Amino acid sequence: MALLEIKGLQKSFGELKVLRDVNISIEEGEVLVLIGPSGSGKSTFLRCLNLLETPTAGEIIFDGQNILEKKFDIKKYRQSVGMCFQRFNLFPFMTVLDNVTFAPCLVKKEKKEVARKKGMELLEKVGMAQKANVYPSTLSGGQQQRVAIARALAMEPRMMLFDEPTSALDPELVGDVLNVMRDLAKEGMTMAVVTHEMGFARDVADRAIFMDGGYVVEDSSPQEMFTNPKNERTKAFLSRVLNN
Amino acid sequence: MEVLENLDFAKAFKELLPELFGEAIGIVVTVTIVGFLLAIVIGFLLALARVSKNKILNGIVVVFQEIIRGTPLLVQLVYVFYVVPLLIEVLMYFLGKPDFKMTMPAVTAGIIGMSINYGTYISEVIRSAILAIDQGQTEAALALGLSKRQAMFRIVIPQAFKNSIPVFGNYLVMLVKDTSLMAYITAQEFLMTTKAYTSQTFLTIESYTILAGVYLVICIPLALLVKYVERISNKSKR
Ligand SMILES: Nc1ncnc2c1ncn2[C@@H]1O[C@H](COP(=O)(O)OP(=O)(O)OP(=O)(O)O)[C@@H](O)[C@H]1O
Ligand SMILES: [Mg+2]
Repeated sequence: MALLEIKGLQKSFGELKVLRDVNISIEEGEVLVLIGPSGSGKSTFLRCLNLLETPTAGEIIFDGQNILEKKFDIKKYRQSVGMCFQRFNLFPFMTVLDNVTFAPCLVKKEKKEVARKKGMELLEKVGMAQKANVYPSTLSGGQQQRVAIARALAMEPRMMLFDEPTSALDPELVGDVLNVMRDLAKEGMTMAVVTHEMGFARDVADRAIFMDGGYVVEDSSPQEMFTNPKNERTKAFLSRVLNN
Repeated sequence: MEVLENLDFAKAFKELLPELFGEAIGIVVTVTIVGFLLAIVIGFLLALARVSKNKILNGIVVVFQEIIRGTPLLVQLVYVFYVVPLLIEVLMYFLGKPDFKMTMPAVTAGIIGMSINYGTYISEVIRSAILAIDQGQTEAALALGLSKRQAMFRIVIPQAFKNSIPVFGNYLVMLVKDTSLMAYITAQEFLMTTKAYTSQTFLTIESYTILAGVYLVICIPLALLVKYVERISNKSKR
């Protein structure tokens, strides 16, 4: 059974139909990259997956449960789906370690010492342990994004969503973040990643999805999609992206 | 000229200053501190009501704010001091207590009037500070499994509050000066005390010059302190 199954997903903002009919299923441990032109609804799709946007229609089945049902516990669900944003969104008034331990302590009622120990291990893992006690404003973008990943992992999610995690970064900082994500993928984390990093997509992803006009236009392995795209729109998009 | 020949600053200093720095400064400090703390509490509650999704609550608060901002502080003080006790007596009459008599101490009226007036202006400061916090902060909090309320109170409001502190400072200095309006409702603050002194001694020039000096001696250092706090808080921001 798929970990996440999305059926007939639609999302409109007033008159604007952003997602028209999206059907995707994601297996446990699978790494999915989402590509597509600007405005094609990639962020909207990802945000629907943890209900930062409420879908207009459709079903999202997580672990056998429809998360769009009225009585579904959204907060509980969000704990099992971590999200990383393009602009990191670290809490600026907390130290790096507090950013990581804040939600586990508040939401999961973890003991402070336990959360701190776990937090330090996660910071170690993303290579940020030496910055545990500084404030986010003193960090580079790449460092902030790695802390944001640690923060999301601290909730022990079963799946991670990344919305262009490296596109706000200076080019020389992109690699560190991608390496962390690569390790995460190796450990078997289920991931959905919106990215323009085609190298990362090719090396790490199990599946690539090309979205355009509110539909999934093409859904295949990254190798297949990059070397031999079926759809004309995929071809046009890839030739533009890969030539830059 | 007679006025100049009779100038006697030494006498005015000796007699008026102890009065000003006796009971009068007690009143000014009390109204300033208590009024200002209450104003922040009121401002905070009004701001919360304004950013809430509750349309009715929102409407009530907007009307209230318009009333407060559309009338002078002096009129509000007079209203609290003279009218509110009468209204309460009327209310008690209808509740079956016709003998109920109410007097409002001037200082209490001052604190109530000041805190409501300043609370209303401060509420707009806090509200815009809340709205100015990046939406991404709330989203990150929600994505971590916080409830909307937790995201508001644990993530957004601490930042909004911190960003508001420098503006609070400016209001604090204004409030100190506005305590002079309480002379109109019989509070023995600086202005009232000075006025009483001149009517006994006719040392008009001396007294009011000293009065102005006293305000400056309090307000200028306070304003400098506010600037200093502002600088520190700007430095600690990202
Ligand atoms: N909250 C919103 N209200 C109204 N319109 C929105 C909202 N969010 C997104 N949109 C619109 O939906 C469309 C899809 O936006 P979305 O951000 O999902 O695209 P995207 O594929 O992530 O693009 P990009 O590559 O530029 O990030 C855009 O036209 C955008 O203007
Ligand atoms: Mg996007």
